[in-house]
Amino acid sequence: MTAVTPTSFAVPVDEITVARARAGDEAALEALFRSFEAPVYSLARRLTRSTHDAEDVLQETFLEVVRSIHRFRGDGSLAGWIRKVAVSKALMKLRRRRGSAFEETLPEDLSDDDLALGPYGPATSAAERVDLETALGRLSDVARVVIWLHDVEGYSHDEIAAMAGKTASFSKSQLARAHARLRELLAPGVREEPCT
Amino acid sequence: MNCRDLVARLDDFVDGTLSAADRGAVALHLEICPSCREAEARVRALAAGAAMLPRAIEPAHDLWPDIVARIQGDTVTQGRFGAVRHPRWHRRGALAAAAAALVVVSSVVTTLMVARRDAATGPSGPGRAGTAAGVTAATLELSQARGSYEAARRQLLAVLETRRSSLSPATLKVLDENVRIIDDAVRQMEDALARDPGNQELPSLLVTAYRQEIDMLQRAAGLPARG
Ligand SMILES: [Zn+2]
Repeated sequence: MTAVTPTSFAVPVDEITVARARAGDEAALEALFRSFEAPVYSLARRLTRSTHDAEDVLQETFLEVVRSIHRFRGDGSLAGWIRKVAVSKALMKLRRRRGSAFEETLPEDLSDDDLALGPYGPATSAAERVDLETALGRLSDVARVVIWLHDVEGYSHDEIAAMAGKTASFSKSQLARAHARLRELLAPGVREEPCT
Repeated sequence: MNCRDLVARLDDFVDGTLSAADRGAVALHLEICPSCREAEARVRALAAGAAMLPRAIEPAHDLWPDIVARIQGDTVTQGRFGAVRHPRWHRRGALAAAAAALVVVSSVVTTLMVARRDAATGPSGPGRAGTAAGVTAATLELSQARGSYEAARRQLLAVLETRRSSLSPATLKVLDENVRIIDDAVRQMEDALARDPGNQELPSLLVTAYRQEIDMLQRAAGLPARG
């Protein structure tokens, strides 16, 4: 499930601004911030589902950008780098949440309960068909993050594994179950495992 | 391959990451199994829906001053940040006009989103009556958003045209590519809507795509000139 539209990180940034930012030019750094604040904040909101955490992630991401942009070589994409920094800051937030499945101590093999419902209320009745937005809100942190990073941001399982400190097969199995859960939320009562 | 095997491979199949042999087996099974075809369609619909979710959420307040304050108290960045200062770039008249058009687009979209939500949760109740009301609101929203979108898009493209020579080839390449991708997506959704006018999802997906394109063009129009 690869994203069919460019992520909002596909912001064109000219190389002069990047060069100036690398030299510590405050106006250029602010221009970068203006270009990426909405995509970074949006991604952080999607991953953490918290305005407060998303604001922290935005700040921490740009502190990191200011600290490290002089090391940015310009061969990879700047947007790709900033997005990765943002993801790792957001994952750090989630890891600090109590009871989060991202906590290091939890086994990789999560129970279905871990995937089932997030903090946003009980299961929908079979009659209630929720939209994708609502359904995403009902997933657990781990399920939502894996879906978002894979389906929307287009990261591979290897990349997700590296960012989350898990294995690729963890990412893969979480995605399959998260998809099943999401489809169940979106079309309750439709048989998931058909015929033979 | 049975249905259980197929379901296990569906994500990878849609992803295009299956081995050639598995891909062939899945395709073969899909040919003969209507319920797996339906499952496949739902996986693809989910992917398309996820890809079109609105992603441009703006923070409620400006965080840059806080960041500057933190940078100034930060030993790692001290001395490097603010090494060069010069006046900000300012917007041109044309950009201001395009920005005004955008405000219209986004307020129309917001108003209609709210209207639509109200219509959806209003007293019309579930079942066919509610569905019919939803279609009308969504269709109305779409036709108004489309008008604003086309005007804003034309204006922003004109602004960009006058700025082409001041933007780097790399920037232009990314920009042109993105415009093409979003235009393609819009065209596909318009076609799909023409084939299925009662579809409940497509109008809001289209409005989202409009918004994404305008958002991107606006950012591009506001980019500093090179050198
Ligand atoms: Zn089957």
